[in-house]
Amino acid sequence: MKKLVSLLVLLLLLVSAGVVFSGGAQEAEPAAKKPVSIRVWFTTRQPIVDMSQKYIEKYQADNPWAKVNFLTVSEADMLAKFTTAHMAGNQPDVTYIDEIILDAMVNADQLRPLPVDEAWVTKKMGKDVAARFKVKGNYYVLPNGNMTGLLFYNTDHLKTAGYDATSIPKTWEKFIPFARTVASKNGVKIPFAFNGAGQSLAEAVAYQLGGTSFLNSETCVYGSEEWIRAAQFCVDLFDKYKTDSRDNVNAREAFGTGNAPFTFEWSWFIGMMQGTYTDIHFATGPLPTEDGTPPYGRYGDNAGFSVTYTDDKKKEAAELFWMMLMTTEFQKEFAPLRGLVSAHLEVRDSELYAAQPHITAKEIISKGFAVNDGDPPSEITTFRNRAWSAIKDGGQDPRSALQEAEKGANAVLAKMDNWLLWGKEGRK
Amino acid sequence: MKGVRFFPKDKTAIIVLLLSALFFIFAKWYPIINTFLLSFKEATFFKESWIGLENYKKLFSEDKVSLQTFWNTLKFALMVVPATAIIGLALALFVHQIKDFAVRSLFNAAFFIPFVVPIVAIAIVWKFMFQPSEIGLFNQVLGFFNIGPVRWLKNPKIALASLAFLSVWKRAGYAMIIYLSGLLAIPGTFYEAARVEGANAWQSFRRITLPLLAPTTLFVIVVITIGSLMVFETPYVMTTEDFPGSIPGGPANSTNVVVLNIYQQAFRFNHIGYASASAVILFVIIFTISFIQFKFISQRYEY
Repeated sequence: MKKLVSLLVLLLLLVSAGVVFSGGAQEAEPAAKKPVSIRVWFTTRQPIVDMSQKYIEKYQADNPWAKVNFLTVSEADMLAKFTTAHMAGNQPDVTYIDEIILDAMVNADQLRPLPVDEAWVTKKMGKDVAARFKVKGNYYVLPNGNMTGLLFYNTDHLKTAGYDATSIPKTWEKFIPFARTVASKNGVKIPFAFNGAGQSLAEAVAYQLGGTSFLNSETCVYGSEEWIRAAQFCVDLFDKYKTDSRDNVNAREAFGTGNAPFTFEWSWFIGMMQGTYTDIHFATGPLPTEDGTPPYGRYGDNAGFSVTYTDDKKKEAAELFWMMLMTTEFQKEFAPLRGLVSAHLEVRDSELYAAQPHITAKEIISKGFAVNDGDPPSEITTFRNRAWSAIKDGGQDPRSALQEAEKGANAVLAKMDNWLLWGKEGRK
Repeated sequence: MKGVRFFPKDKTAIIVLLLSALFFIFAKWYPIINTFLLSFKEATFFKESWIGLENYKKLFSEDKVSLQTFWNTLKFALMVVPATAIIGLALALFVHQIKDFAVRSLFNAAFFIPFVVPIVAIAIVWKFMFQPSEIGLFNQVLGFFNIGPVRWLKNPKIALASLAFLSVWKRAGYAMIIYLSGLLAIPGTFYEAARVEGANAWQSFRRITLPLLAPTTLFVIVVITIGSLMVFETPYVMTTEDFPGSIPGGPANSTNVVVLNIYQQAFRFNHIGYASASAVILFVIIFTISFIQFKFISQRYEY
């Protein structure tokens, strides 16, 4: 009997101990998450890819249950590769979606709602972004930042010629001979390189003259007088003022290799200069205008990271990764490499944009010295680019080329659905 | 015929044939039929809806750019096909009369090498050679004769011809090999008989070589025509400007060809249905031209 009682007591003690320790273990270690592997696709910009590696490692360290398969895809191939992956059932879970293919992706319901609400977006990026990027009650992509056209100048060339940044004239009339003088004193042949960027320069000049590209989401005005004058001006830069030649290497290469003291390019070129042409000391300034006053051109949004998972088991991992991309730390490194004025207010107001070469773009955009005309799909801008090619290389007169482009663009716009999700206005 | 089996008896043979048939159905016929069906739809990669002949109407009446691509492609083929056939035949005749085996092999290889080198690699190198300023190799050569510089790929009047020049250079060796095999098949007794009858070299060529090479010529012309009408890599690599958002198609759209346009419509603008309509029209054109070539060139001669 005694033995039996002792055995029962022992058993009771063992069971109690088991209950106590298992309960303690549950509190100390929450149920382990099922391992997932997410696919992340970025576009191919090597400095950004290199920078992102440490964030991926940190993400994996913080979330040991999540593994990241990272792949880079060129911008030109992203839509085709994404759709192929989608058809094969293995599309990426987090994707860098460039704004030129964004409308196609949103219209095709390929993007998942982001895990943020209007209050979050307003706090991070301001009321304007919060309003413009809301689609069907959700956010599917947010801008990384803004880009605008800038005058890039070689600071060494200016110094050699005996000038500095304050010497650069603000009007085209004075800038052109100045550029020739600086080039001549440095023994380089291209005073103002813009070959290969002519269509963008023509666009900037059109906006400088008070023009626009779209009256609304259905009416393109590439054939307006401002556009015609702008295109003729750019042709004159080749033929009359000889600041560049159609047969020279493209402007980015000419400037990046020190063969031109000035060039025009959008602010993304800052990232390229800092990553690729590291020998050239450069700075940025506003483009000259007819009378020296703004607007200097156009600025646009740059999109954007989006969550694109199809398997709900990956939702948490994908959304966590996306949130990591939205941190101030990541954006502070990403935005300058991408050549953006960051859309994140905390980054935009940091010391990063208080100095060259980023300060010019920030001032132009934040002070309204350039026009935000939305971001049309590449199918529309193709008409503009073709018109420029016909004018530049085919010798077609700007009026007929641009009016043909306007007609073609409007025919496409009439059948387009839901483009211009942000910008001036949405679809009727 | 009596006693001929439609299906082989051997099970292994049946399995192998079935596998081949499945491959052809899914890898060849299904995409072809699907493309044909897509041409009647407003289709993107993600959704599609039936619109009948609207894509074809747009192609023939609204879209001048796409229509121009068909004309550019035909012009390209008209430049490449005769030149390749003639130069290929000339090279074959030249190599055929070389008696020394080692020397003949050397020339064979030298003329055939361009055909086996990947076209993209060639296009990249030739793009540099065609540089419009005096740094391009061709302009440097012309410079010795005080000619140029010529804007090979930048002048819309000659950009397409520049691409055709490259194409002829690449394919002439292939045509040469085909013609060589045709020449070797012509019995030497015909030439001996002609010599005895007092025929000169030109008469032998015109009355014996050319007619007996008709099947070979047909093959060369059909193959080169199809290849020319489906050209893509050279205009894409050589005449796409290097700036973000640039469109392939060369100066003033002068080197925009059908397959390049199909690629843009499908993969840049997401108009799968419209691209499919262009592909169907291209198929019809290739089929028609090949049919005409078969009809007029395939006459067989027997002596």
